Amino acid sequence: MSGAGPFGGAPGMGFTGGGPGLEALAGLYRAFVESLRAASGSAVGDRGREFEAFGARFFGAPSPFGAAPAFDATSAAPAPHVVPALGPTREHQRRLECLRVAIVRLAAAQQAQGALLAAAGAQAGAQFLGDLAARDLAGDGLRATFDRWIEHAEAAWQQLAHSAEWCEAQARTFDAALELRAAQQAIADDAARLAGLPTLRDVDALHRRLRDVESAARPTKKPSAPKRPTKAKSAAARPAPRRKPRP
Amino acid sequence: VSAPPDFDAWLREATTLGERLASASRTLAALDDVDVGTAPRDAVYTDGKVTLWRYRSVAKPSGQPPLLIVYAMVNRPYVLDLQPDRSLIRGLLREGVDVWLLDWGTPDRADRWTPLDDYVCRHIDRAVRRLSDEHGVADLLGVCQGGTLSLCYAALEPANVRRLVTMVTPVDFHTPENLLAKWARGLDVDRLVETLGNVPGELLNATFLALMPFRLTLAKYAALADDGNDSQALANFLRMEKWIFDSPDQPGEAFRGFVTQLFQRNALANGTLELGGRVVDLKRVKLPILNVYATRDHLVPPSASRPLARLCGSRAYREVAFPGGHIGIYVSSRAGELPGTVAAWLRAP
Repeated sequence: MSGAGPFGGAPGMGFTGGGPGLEALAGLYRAFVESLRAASGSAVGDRGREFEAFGARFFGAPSPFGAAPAFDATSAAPAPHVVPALGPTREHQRRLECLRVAIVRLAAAQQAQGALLAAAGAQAGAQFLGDLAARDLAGDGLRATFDRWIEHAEAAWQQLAHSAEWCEAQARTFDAALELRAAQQAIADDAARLAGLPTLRDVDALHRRLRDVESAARPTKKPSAPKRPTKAKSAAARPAPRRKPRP
Repeated sequence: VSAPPDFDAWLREATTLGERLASASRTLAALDDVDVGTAPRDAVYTDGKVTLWRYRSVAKPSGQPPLLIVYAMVNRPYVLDLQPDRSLIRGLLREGVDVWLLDWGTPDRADRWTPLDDYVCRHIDRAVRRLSDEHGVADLLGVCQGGTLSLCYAALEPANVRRLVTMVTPVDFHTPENLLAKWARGLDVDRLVETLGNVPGELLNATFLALMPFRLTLAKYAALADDGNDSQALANFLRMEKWIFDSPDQPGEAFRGFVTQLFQRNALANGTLELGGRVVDLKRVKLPILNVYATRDHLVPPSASRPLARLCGSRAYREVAFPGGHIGIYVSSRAGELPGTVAAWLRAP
């Protein structure tokens, strides 16, 4: 059993590291399910599956006080048996969970984009081969054929790249990549904070403050273009824009 | 019935191509790092990361007002002076133009909160006033995003600019050919900036390459075989390669402003763009405009540049179509014609 029981062991430790009583109970339960399996052959039947599921849910759930859930790159959604992280390491676990979800989302987005690309590539390849089959290639050199392939590939790419489907898929991938980056930054920022180092957020805040101070210190310039009309002053009531005197 | 390839010939050709690529690699390895942006110039002032440069004249002054070049914040302005024989700036100097350049420098974390407004209402304004102090008036030449910013400035301060040249400048960001804008529209730019702070130049480069990935990677490097032992051609290639990948990070807040207002809301074209609390109305740009666009521009398609004709308030609007791409306009073999065209237009009554 790779998970940890909900009350097993000290904070930060997995089930297998503590709670011998619960471990023993889990062992008994496994034996029970195994006996069911043995009784009904390899097919445990619906009831057997229910028991297995229950066992996984109860004994397989990661400890809310323990380490982060085991990495599972197969699903973006948290496993149903994972209870929210609790205790002193809760926020750290949460950040790790965000990272896991971001990795999975990025992989899924890239997979969807890859599928579009593969389909377009296959179509372009077939067209290129069709073109070659229809041509008299005896006089065509290798380089000319290469150039023709580039033209075909580029044309196929342009068709795909302009499609709404691709634009959406690309935007999703980009979003997922940013989500992953943000999740990584959150972990790095936390590590920096614990080590007493300035975080990205600190640096950005300083730069923003500096920028605000610089702006406030800069003399304001009288605009010569019209301001956007406001409700209080209708366009008709506005005076004509003044020409700025030449320096 | 189509005939199959002559595979023996392909094998021979592959061998030759391989040898040429190996030769190109050896030539490249023997090259020192390349020089770029070598036209003599002097720093007039530095304001934070921003520097105003003035180029030293090489010809009899034309007597025209000085020309301030405003480059994009993406990439470096030395593409305008990539090498002595491919240099818009040197070409303009030879025409007697007094050339100044606003260089955005290399933004760092301290620039993360600098809004787009600052770049237009503060930096361009300061540079224009500096030129005007000395000469009474100034002309503006904006390149790509710098052209968009120059247009904004001309709309906000129309009295400060005499003539405006826009080069490969996006104005309408919602045209069907504009792939970059399509991609940008799906971007959660708030999240991007909140997460990354400044936007890494590498990220933008990857995006630009993805617009035409096969031509800009595979085909480009395969073409090195054509240059084999030509060290001059390979040095030119290396200069361009250096420029492409020498991309500064984008200051976060300004990037957010540019993407949300222009790429996503198309605010310049629909008249809702606000900078410094003021509305940018292109109809206020009544000064003479020369709009140069590239016919095969994959970054700023002609359809994104040309709507300026109907959106601006100028009656002296002129377009020049350059047969080439976004960068070819400065560095291709035909790029040498451009300085003369621009200088003649600036001189025209």
